[in-house]
Amino acid sequence: MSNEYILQMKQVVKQFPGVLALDKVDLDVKPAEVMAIIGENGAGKSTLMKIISGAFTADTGQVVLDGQVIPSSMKPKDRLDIGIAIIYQELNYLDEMTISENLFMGRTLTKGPLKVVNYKRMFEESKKLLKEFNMDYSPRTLMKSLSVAEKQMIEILRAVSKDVKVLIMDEPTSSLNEVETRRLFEFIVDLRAKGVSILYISHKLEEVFELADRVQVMRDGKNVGVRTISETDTNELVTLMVGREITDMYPKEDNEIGQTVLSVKNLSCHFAKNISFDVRKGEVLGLFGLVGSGRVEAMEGLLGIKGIDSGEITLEGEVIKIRNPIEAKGYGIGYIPSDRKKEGLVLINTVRNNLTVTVLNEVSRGGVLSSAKENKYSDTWIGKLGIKTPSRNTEIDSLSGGNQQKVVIAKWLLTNPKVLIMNDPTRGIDVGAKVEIYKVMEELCKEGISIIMVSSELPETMGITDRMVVFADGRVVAEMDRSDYNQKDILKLAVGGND
Amino acid sequence: MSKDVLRMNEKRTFKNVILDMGTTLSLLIALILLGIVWSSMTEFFLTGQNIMNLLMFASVMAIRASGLTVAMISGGLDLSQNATGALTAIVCALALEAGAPWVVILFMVIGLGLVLGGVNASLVTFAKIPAFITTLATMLIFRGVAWLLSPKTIMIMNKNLTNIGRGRIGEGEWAFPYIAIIAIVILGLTYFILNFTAFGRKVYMVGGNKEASYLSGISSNKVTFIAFVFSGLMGAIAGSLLSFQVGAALPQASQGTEMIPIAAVILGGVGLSGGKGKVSGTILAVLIMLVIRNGLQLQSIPSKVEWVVTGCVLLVAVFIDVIRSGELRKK
Repeated sequence: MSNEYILQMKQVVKQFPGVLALDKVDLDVKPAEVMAIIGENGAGKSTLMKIISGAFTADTGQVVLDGQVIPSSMKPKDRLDIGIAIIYQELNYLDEMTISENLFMGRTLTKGPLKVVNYKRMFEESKKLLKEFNMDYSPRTLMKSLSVAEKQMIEILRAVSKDVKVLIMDEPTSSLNEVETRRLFEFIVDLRAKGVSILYISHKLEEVFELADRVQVMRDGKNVGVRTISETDTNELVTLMVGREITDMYPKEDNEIGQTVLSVKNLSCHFAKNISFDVRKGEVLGLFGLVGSGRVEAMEGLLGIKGIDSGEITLEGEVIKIRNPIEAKGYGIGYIPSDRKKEGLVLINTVRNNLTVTVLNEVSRGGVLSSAKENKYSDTWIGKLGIKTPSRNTEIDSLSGGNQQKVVIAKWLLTNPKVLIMNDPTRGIDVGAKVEIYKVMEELCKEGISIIMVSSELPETMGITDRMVVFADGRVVAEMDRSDYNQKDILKLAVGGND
Repeated sequence: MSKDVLRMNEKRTFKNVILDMGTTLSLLIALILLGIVWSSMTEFFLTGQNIMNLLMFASVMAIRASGLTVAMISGGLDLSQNATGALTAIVCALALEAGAPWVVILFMVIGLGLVLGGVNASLVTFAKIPAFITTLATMLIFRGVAWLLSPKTIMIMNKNLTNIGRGRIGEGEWAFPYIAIIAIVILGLTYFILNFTAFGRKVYMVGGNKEASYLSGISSNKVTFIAFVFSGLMGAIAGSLLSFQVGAALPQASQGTEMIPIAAVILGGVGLSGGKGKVSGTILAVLIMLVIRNGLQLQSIPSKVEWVVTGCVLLVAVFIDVIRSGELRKK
């Protein structure tokens, strides 16, 4: 007899020092369904997932697989054997090894008493598996020659190869472009058709609506609602997630837009060729394109992070040359990178020191720092942007993603920039915090700052920009005003029309 | 981060000050305990003569360590300091033999330090060779060149120079060594640079995240360059002061103890990954290591036991840090 639910959580509680991460959470997953779990950062999604996978142990409550209670002490490895697999956001693969070796990671097939690796059988079995999922690679291909999306699929295959019943995926699309995301979705639908249940953790609502059968919303460690996708809408889910009503995701107003501030003419950098665009005072210009479309290269060329092959940059009517980010700063051009932790912040230092890092010359005299000035500057901006931190001397690593991002923005506002270039400014932060970042952007435009937003997320780019330049294949393929935005057309342009 | 976070307008309480001290406090306690243990075991430990002797040794190591502290906070490492010192001392001794006046020798020390440090700095900054490999190679090269210039010990007879190395202020057993004053000045300067200057802040930021600092408009190459030149300069000053102290320049001076000052800096709380650490930690760690050595010597315990003990202390200290960081609870 088959159970109605393949996986269940019953009244699971998990307490961490100082936080109740999960508060009597229930969860039911039916066989062969995609169940989405959404919630803001800190809502308890990852804790929940880790309790199912065995990485954490629940304080009380049960996890039931196919009618059988899983002992809470069972290790992740053993859970894999009974059919619970998990794909983390951070992929876990060996670049220098072949697809086949990666597929059999942790259970290498051997032969003979010396346990010699049985490559032949591993290749054969890998081939079968790849074929079953329509992936046209030799199992001898080195992992490093695959794209991120492909690596992820190999990782999923690794899980699937072990007769998985429930596959948990933690924000699997966070590093994929639109095309790759499509591919992954097809793959997931395929898996579901084969009878696998998928627990899909995300905070991208569009994905949830496209993919999931049902959705469970988490907030502050509690389950605040389960909905069938066909019977709910974005507004309801966002309201459940945030706990208050967000009427306007994109607080866009009609701003007065002035003269051209910065103009880029025929810039070529790496594989971006002949890129031209202007940005005007007080506007948000979007540079949209898929991963590998050249938008990032154009931006890096403009900032002097990468050397440019040719091109002319004009700032307020004057032709300028920018050879590195230091010179860019001198011209009043600030850069907010997409990877906050790697490129935006010195995580082991304090909020204050991360704020004043761009203006060390202004807060010092004769090379000696003025602590009073630094404190004043940082308190001002902590207040202005509403950065939630216990103190200016708090280590920045302990702040939430949204607040960290505000620090990155604030450190550039300290320099009184003319142009701010933001690369994926809301990556990996909560819906609530996203709206706050959008509000800050809007506020900056009102003060006459021009923003260039580089993004691969279309809904966001459409929501917050005044104008958009679409990139495909290293070139600018279109430029349009907000009034002409149309999701379908833009996507078509971005994939180069050959879809 | 300490658990008792200070709110925006709160005054620092005694508790906060103690918590902020972190590693420094543990080191201070360890040093005091060591002092108590040694002085209870031998009456010679707490004599002026012994303490001042200890300071003389500590000074050379402290000068090296102050250079290393800057280089390592900036994210680098310098294995070539001792070789830099030996080469500098040999060149200076040869110049002295050839009749150079002692004041010129002092300028030569600084000049050679800047040049040899500059070699490391250029290789690390411009040729992008990792600091460990660069300074491992220059350690061999500098040492080899020192041997080639003079395989034999060269005596340093100049009274002014030897006086800098072993002279003391005042009379009696508590007379204070000049070299300790030099070390204190250098440590004070390093402390000031790291804590109160824009350059010092940049050292921490670049060491903490080079990419983020660069993208914030900090010339991270310049910071790395200066940090390595500083380390080389300290190596040269320490090496030549040692030769003035001994009254001789040896090509093999301080060979085999390259890692000791590095161990001290790590013990003092500067990680290998950069971006954190304090001069106060370095000072205490240098003192701890020398007090251990000194106590063992006073007990007539064979000198290499010191290495065993030092190694154990380093492991225990770093392990305590690991426990504190909560790393053990992760897999």
